[in-house]
Amino acid sequence: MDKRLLEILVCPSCKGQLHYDRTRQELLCRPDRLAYPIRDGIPVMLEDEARRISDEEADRVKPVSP
Amino acid sequence: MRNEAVTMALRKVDQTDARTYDAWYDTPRGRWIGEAELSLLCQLVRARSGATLLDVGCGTGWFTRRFAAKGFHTTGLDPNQGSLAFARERSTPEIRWALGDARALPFEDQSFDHVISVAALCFMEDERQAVSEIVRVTRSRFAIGWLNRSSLLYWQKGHSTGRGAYYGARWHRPEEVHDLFSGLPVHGLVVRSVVFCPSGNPVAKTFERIIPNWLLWGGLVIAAGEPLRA
Repeated sequence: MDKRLLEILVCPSCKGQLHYDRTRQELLCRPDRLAYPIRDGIPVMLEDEARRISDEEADRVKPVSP
Repeated sequence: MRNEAVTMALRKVDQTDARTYDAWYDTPRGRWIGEAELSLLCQLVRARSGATLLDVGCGTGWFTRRFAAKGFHTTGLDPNQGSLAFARERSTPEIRWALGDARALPFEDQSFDHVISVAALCFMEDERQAVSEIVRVTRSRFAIGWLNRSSLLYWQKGHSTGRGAYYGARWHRPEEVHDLFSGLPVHGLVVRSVVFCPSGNPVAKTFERIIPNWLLWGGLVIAAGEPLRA
């Protein structure tokens, strides 16, 4: 995942900060409870394609620097 | 609404196939049209090499690749995975790609020096929301191109539902393009056009050199300006 792209990407819905999960290759939005997938290095920033995450999973999200 | 845009974009690609769509730009006529549009876009964004640039609705990335070749730090965004995969395959690794909807751009405010979009918004509903998003993420200048209903190209390709790559596209009159910006924080808005005679023959090329681009009869009408900051 490109570092500069990671710095400017936000949640397309709330424009809030995203958290990069390197292992799962996902970008997580805590307020919206959404995980946007990164497929073949391309972030998929469509709400319809995002995975819904539980409150517990959202609470585990910690800011990860790019 | 969002699904509709994605479906439209998918349809656009299904109709023509990414490879065929991109290969059109390698035909003598396609190359001439593409280069003429590129030249006006560069002029309108007052392009400077080394700046960052976002191509909204980049499709197969023909314009994205050319801006990158001109020395811009370029990012392409499109809702269609097939188009983006094709675009990346054809491009050099320094170009960044993101799958996304023009009406909900996944970028911070003023993320890019320049934002361009070429005949992409005309395939989606609620274009005004996309225009507003483009203005939001622009730091310096934007240039957005629409298919012009008041052009020769429309009479050739735009009738009924449109032919080829123009299938399903909405064609605007230049005054409608102006209206899409009403109420948005924009200043210095200019509207220009390019590709007056779409045939690409020597006569068309001569016309293109002679006709000033403030005459809004060209196949692509481009609105450019700067975001107004509080």
